[in-house]
Amino acid sequence: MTRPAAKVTPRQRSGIGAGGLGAWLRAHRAAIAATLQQFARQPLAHGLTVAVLAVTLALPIGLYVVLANVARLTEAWDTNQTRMSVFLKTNVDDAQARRLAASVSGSAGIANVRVISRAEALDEYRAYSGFNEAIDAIGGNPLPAVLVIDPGEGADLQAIVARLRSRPEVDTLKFDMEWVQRLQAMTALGQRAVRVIAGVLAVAVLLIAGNAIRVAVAQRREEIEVYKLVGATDAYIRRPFLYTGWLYGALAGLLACGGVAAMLAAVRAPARRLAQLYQSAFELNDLAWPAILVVMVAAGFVGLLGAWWTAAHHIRRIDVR
Amino acid sequence: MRCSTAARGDDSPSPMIRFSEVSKSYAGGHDALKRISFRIDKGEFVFITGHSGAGKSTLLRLIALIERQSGGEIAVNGQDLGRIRRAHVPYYRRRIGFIFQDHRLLSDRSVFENVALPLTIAGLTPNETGRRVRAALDRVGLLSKEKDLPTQLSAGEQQRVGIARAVAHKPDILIADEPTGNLDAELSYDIMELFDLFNQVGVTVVIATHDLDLLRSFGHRSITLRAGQVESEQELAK
Repeated sequence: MTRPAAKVTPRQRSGIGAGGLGAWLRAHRAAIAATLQQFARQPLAHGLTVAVLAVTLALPIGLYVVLANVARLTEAWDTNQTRMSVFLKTNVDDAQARRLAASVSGSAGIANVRVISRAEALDEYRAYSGFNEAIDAIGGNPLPAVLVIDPGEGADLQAIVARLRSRPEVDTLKFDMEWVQRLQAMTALGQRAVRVIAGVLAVAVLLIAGNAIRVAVAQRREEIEVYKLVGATDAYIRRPFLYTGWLYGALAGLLACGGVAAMLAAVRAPARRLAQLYQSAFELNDLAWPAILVVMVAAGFVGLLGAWWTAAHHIRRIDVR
Repeated sequence: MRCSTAARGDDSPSPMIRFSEVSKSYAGGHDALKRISFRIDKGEFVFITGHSGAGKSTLLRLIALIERQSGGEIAVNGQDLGRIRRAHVPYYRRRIGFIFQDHRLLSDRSVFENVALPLTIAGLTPNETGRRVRAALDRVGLLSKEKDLPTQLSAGEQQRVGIARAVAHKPDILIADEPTGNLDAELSYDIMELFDLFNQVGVTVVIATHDLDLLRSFGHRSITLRAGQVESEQELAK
C-alpha cells in the first residue's frame, strides 16, 4: 500500500484561499483590535500590571536622571584648573590682603590673583546662607579675606603652596577642585550602579510582563481551544498577547517617565535655591522626549520579550479538549 | 432494513478516510482503540455508534488530529496524518469542520463573529468573510440572529451556529461528536437533516451518536464500536 506522502506547503493545505501580504496585514490588524478590546474589557487588571511595571521602571529612570544632572553640574567645572583658595588670618585687613595679592601676583607660576575682601565675604555669606541674625548677634565680621589664585600652566604647585604657607598672613590653603573630583568619581560609580540596577529591573519587567501574559493565556484557555479547533496557528493566537506585552512595556515606560518628571518638578525649586548658594545658574534638566522615546521602546521590547517567552510556551501546551 | 457487513475492499475508488490497524492507548494503559481498520469514501455519510467508552470520540479526535494514534496508519484524502508535523496541524484542520455536543461557541462574541472565526483566521477579506458567514447562517436558518450573542439563543439554535461555524470554510469533512446529545427528538431530527443537506452537496460527514432511533430514521452506513474495536458495519436503508 503505497501512497505519495504529499509534501504540501501550508498555503496549499489551507482549505480556503488565504495568504499573502493582505492576509498578514489583516491578521495584525485583527490582533491589534483584539489587544485593545482586551484592555478596554479589563482596564483594572491591565492597568495594575502597567502600574507595577511603571514603578519598577521609575527607580532606574529616576536615579539615572538625578545622576545625569549631577554629572552635568560637575562637568561644568573645569577640574584641570587647580584654583586655590588662600584663607588669610582674621586679623589681616583688606589693605594688607591687597598688598599680599600684589606681591603674590608678581611671583613665578601665578596667572591670576583675585581678592575677596572681608566685607565682600560677609555680604556673600549674608546673601546666601540665611544666617543673617546669627551674624548680627555675633557683631563684627568673623570672616577672613580670601585670595583666589589661579596658578599658571605647568606651574610648580608644591613650590607655590610652600611659598604661600610661609607667609605670616596665610591661615589655610585649599584646592577648590578636590571635592568636585571626588563628586565626579562618585557620580561615575553611581552611573555604573544605575546600569546594574537597570539590568536587574529589566529582568523584573521581563518576569512581571511574562507572568501577566501567562495569567491572561490561562484565563482565555477556552477561547484558545476554539481558535485551535478552527485552524488557528500558534502564531495567530500568540499575536494579541505579544502586542499586549509590548503595550505593557511601552505604557509603563511612559508612565514611569511621567512619574519621574513629576518628581523632578517637585524638587526643581529647592534645587534652584541650592544652585544659587553655589552662585550657579544650574537648572535641573527634565526628561527630554528622545529619552522618553528610548525608554518606551526599550521597555516595550522587554515587555514583548516577556510575553513571547511565556505565551509561546503556554499556548503551545493548550489543545482542543 | 438491508444489512451488509461486507468490508469494503481497498480497490473501490477515492477513500476520504482510511484507518489501517489504528490503535490508541492512553497513559495508564487504557486502550481506547485496538487495531481498528475501516474506510469512509468521499461524499459518504457515516454514523459511528457504540456505548459510551467504546472509542467513538477518540476515533473522531484522531481524524481531526486533536490526538495522535499510538499505532497504525490514518490517511485522510490521501494524506498520512502521522506525517503531518505539529506546525501544519492548523492548516490541516481548516479542511475539517468539527462539531461538539457542547457547541463551544465564544459567549462574548456575536453569532456572526463566531461563524466568521475560521474565515478570519484563514485570512479571508472582510467582504468574502461576510458573504460566506451569511451563506452559512442562511443554510442553518439563523440569518436573522447574526447580531445576537450565543447565550440569547436556544440550545438547538446554538448547535446550529456551531454547525454554521463548522461549514463556513467549506470543509471536505464534517465531523460531529454527539451533536444532538443535548437536544430533544424533534430538534435532533432537524439537526440531522441539516447534516444530510451538507452531505448532498458533497461533504463527507462522520457523526458519532448513540441515538439509534435517529440513526435508523436517516439510513446511511454505521460503524459500531465496542471496547475499542469495530463490532459491526451496517448499511441502513432509510
